Amino acid sequence: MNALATLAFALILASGAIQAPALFRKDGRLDRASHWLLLGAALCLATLIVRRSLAIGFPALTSIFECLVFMAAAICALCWAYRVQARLAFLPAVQFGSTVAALAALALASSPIAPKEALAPIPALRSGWLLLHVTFSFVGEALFMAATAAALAFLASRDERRKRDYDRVCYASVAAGYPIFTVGALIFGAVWAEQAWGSWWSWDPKEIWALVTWLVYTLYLHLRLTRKRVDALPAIVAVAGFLCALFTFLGVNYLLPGLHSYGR
Amino acid sequence: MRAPFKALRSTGLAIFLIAYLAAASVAASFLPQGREAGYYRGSMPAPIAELAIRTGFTDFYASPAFLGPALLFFSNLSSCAAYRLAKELRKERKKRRHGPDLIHLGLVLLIAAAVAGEAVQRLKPEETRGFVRLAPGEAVRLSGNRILALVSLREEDYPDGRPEDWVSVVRVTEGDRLLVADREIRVNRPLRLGGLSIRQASFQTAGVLGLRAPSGETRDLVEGESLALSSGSVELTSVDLGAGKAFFREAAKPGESAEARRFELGPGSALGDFTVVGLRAEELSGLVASYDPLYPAVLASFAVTILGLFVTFAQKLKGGKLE
Repeated sequence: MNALATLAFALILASGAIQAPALFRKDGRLDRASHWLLLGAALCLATLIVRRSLAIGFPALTSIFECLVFMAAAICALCWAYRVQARLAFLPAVQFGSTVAALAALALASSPIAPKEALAPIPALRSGWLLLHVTFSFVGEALFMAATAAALAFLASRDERRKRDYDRVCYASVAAGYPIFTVGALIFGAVWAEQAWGSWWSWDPKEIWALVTWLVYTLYLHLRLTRKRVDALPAIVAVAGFLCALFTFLGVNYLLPGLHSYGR
Repeated sequence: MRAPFKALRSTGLAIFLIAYLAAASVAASFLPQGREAGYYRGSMPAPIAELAIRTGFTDFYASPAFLGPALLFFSNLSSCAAYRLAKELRKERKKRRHGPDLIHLGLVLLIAAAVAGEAVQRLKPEETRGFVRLAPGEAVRLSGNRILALVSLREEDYPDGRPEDWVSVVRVTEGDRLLVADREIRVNRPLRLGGLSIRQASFQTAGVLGLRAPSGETRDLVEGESLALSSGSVELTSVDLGAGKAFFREAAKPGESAEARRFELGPGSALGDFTVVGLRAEELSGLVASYDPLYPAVLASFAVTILGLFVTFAQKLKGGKLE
């Protein structure tokens, strides 16, 4: 199974290497292979999850390792979809930033913080609501990752026309990720908590940080509503939102133990 | 009257409150919540401890520092929802965008249901939540004269021996009427009875002490349970079946050491007016009953919010706002 993760890592690395020159090219010419390599990596990671699920007899989305693999797969698939779609301007920096994030997720998955042993989940985690909670949350966060790449590119760019494009991609990614994240992280999470613990909400550190992430993206959408011209504040808030999402996923598990501590 | 309402429903106020609630929640998440004041004074620099205690950050979600802005946010959301809905309804049918209205409405309903649910739990804590450990054949009285009896329980294991699920089979009666016949309760699959939910919380093999009262009646005491005697209360801390001994701890009395409050007994010994008649191990099911009359309202608020989120996204997509 680790061979699939290694193959995916190599494909993402190769894709990043192919993409890098396009960041500095002035003619706007794009490579023809990088997004297909990312799709290949997404398929490898999806196969890994399916094989692991068959091995443990339950959808393999309950450990840190499995969640990081799913996150990397979601980002790769999203990058491919972004490249082949025709509605939004394609910006190489967004694809490259997301590719780096997918690499980072896989590197974390291979580190000691993510035990790799395939174990069937404890009774509390055997829930369909948990699966919806995890998948929707990570798909939402993959979109937030793309928004962050666009926001960082916005903050780094000096070209006004480019800035507008980055802002649009950032907004579109948050607009798509926000409903998915809200439903997954907060609503499906609350429904599962009610079933498992008898309480919709427990003010557990993980819940609080998921709420903070949601509040920050809510702030972003409202700021975007009120700004007459494109400026840096929404982009800064979008980056802050993703930092909150990262802390919710990883930081809380190790620094603020609570009901979600089994997620280590 | 129009100016205060305009300020109350303004997006600027919403932005300020959202930013405050997010920042304050971050700060509160790094501070252990709900401890005694002495804990904060002993574990952090004095000025920070005093600041945390005085501002209510030590129990942030029950403090005015949270409840005040949260109430203001609720008012902002409600007035914005009402204003926006009225504005949209004045438009031509085809130009109306009700997605954000639905999101706001769903959130208003959710906050109202959460506050009402919390109020019910605070006013009637014993009627809204309870925990019981039952052995097969034992029963417990629920609200409304309903009796829940544990018919059987089992642990389902994975091939490697780790627990996969805990299953209690229960029966519920009301007088002579059978309300629920042999229904399984599993972790993540509670039994719903109107607004009452009964869920599988734990499963354990516990030591049980059999006691006989002078009247001849018998009763059981399970590890972790306490018994009131004329001399004070005692807790059964553990049972060693191999040695045939049960270990107790007396409730603390002023001036007594912890050592003086521990003792052990075997079959035939006296415990206050009771006589120990036997020791045994028993499998027990830990069941939690919770009563939430707002359950349908919370579900409805979720449904409205989800609908609003996706209608908003679809309308943005259709209107070309994501290009």
